[in-house]
Amino acid sequence: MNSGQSRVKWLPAWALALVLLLFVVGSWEALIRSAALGPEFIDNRALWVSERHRLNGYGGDAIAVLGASRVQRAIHPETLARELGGPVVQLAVEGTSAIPLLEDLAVDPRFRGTVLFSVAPAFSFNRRLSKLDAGNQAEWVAYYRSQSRSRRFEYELRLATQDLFAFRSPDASVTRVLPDVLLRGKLPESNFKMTFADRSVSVDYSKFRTPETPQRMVDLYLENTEAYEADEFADLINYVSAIVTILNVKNCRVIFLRLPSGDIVRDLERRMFPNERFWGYMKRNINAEFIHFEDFPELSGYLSVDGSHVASEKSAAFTKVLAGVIQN
Amino acid sequence: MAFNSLVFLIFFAIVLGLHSLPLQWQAKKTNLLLASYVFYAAWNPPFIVLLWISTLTDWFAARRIAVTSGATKRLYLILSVVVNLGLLGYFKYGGFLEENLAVVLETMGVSYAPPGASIILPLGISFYTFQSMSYSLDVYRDKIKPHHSFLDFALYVTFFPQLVAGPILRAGFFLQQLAEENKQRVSQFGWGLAIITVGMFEKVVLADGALAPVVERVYGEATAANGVDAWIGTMAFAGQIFFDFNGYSMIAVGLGKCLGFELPWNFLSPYGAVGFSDFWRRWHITLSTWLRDYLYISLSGNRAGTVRTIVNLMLTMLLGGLWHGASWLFVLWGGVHGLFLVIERVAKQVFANAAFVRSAVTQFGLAIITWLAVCLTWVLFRADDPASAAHLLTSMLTLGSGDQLLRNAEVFTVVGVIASLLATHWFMRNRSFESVFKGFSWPVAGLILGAMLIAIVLSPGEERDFIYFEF
Repeated sequence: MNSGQSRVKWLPAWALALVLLLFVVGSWEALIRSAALGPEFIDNRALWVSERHRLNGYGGDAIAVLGASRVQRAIHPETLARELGGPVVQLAVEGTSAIPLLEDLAVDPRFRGTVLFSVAPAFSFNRRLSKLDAGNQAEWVAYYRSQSRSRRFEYELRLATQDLFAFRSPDASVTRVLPDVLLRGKLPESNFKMTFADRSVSVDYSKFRTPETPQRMVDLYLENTEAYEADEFADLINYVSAIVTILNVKNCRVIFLRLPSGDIVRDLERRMFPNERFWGYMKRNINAEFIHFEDFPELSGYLSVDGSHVASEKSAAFTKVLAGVIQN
Repeated sequence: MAFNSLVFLIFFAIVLGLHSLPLQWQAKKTNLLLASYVFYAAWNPPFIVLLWISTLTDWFAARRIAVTSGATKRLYLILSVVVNLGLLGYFKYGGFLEENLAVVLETMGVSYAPPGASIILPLGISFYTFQSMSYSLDVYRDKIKPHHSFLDFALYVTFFPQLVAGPILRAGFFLQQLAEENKQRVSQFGWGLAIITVGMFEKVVLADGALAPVVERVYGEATAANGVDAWIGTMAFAGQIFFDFNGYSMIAVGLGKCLGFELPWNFLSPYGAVGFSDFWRRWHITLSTWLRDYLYISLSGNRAGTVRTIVNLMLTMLLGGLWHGASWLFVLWGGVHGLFLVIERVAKQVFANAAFVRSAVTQFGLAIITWLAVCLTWVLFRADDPASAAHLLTSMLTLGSGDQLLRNAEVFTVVGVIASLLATHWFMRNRSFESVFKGFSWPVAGLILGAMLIAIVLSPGEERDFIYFEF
């Protein structure tokens, strides 16, 4: 079969394929938008690396937010930037300890700003997470450092498509939505968790398939967490202290935060990670500022139903109060 | 700049635009060469120097080989081999050699700690050094004359569709295509795009979307995998590596066609193979033929008696395994394949006159046995360390018990995809992809391509690099 014959064949074949593509993808986009699922950013390495690059442009004014989901959900970047007077870059990553990133900022000569380091006991005091490979932060930091220009450009393009099309959202993926539509005739529900371009996150707890309750948080803790032994923790804090010393030499401001938890989550954290052995030890051995929610009653009253995260609708108000605490 | 990236889409559109301008053929080739350097430099610009070293060495060596004889001629060939294998050896095996040296010295009571400086593996170095070196070897063997155009030769070494993961080209096959512009380019453009679409579908939807998450789960928690996990995870990897690498190779062939060039197919339904020699005639064809022509035959092939043939086979497969990466598991993987080839060779002699061997049922049974044995070897290829490999192989062979890591939906997905893959390969055993696809009417072809494009665009999978980029 020679290529002369295929010319006649390929033109209509490709026309049909493209019409089909536009029709199905267009219909899919319309279907999921009709179910109130809009475009959203995927909270993955691409978005994180893009934000990490953004930090480089800000110099001494920048406020870098480090930690896990607690600080990612609690901080309203726009409010914090307004209150503290500097650009805010959200670099917290769900389920991780931020020590690899703290080290990265320390050795980065371009960074001379403020670090808000949220200490989440389940990750920062958990011996099951190695300090050098804390969740996937170490991998993301390594990737950021070795990323080529073309890969960075690729990430920016992908983020642009996420901003444009709802079907790029994981909540709108065919594998998730199609079974509901075909088998149950049910349209997808609007996103329970939305990530925005600045990596801030909004969560609608009423839409969780499995209710996020304080008891569930406690179960997760008990399943995945083991407190550091005293000598191991001393080693870890020595390591963090050395990193903070480097940041201090660069005139960076470093603030360690313990964000609110409530009810049985707070009780469990007190039992597993007694303040004297953990937070107190950090305060005594690291030359930085420390803010613990229990020392500031004005930081209470913002929690969501899970007892572990600030409610999204209250994050702006919480951030404003927190900014006041930081300034004083 | 991976083929499955938006950046590459823009890059290729620009290259295609330039290639379609009414320019002299020489100017178009220059554009392609520059584009290939840009493509390579997009990863790590300094490593482009290695590409130039390889290109210049073989350009110079081949010209000298053609006009000299005897020891001098051999010396120039040695220059090519030493430079290319030297680059490969330093960048790919430097750390591995150091680690092993430390172990050997330790056993002799000498304490030696390797410096630990990590050597970055330049992308595609295993492919372009072999390709460049084969030119000098072919000139040395009088199979081709040294080419008159440095531009053509540089483009042969660097042509971006196949630069970083093959197919490994032969100079005689590719350089003649550079003599004049292919006037059929426009008419084969639609076919080229169709090949690219199928390759992209294999990579994005099947390898990355359907199979990779299962493989990563099982091999990430290898020591916790029970018998079902181990089999399903390994079957998934058998599918993943095929769809990943064949997908890449098809995209390369399709890109070549869009630009007016023919590149060789790298896979011919390998999971429909009956026996291991048949498997290696169908799997990563351009590497296996390279190893056959330049290593196995150079070692005397099967011309020096049975024992020597076996030794040659084993050496070729062991080195073929090592080519894939600096790890003893790859060497072992190659060794096991070598062993399978030796056993098959002996079995063929024993059953040479047995009629039942040629029956359809026996052939089908042998194809299944071949596939299962190939699956077992994939464990060595994919496992992170020997302990994980040992645990997975034990679980597979003893149907180890314990809690199942994988969900039933994942198990059904893998079984469905792999069963379809095996059935397709068995059906396609003696057919080419081109003859089957071009046999469709245009509405059928349009529907297939449309469905694949939809699956690619809507695929929720994470972006992953091609597996063979690591080699």
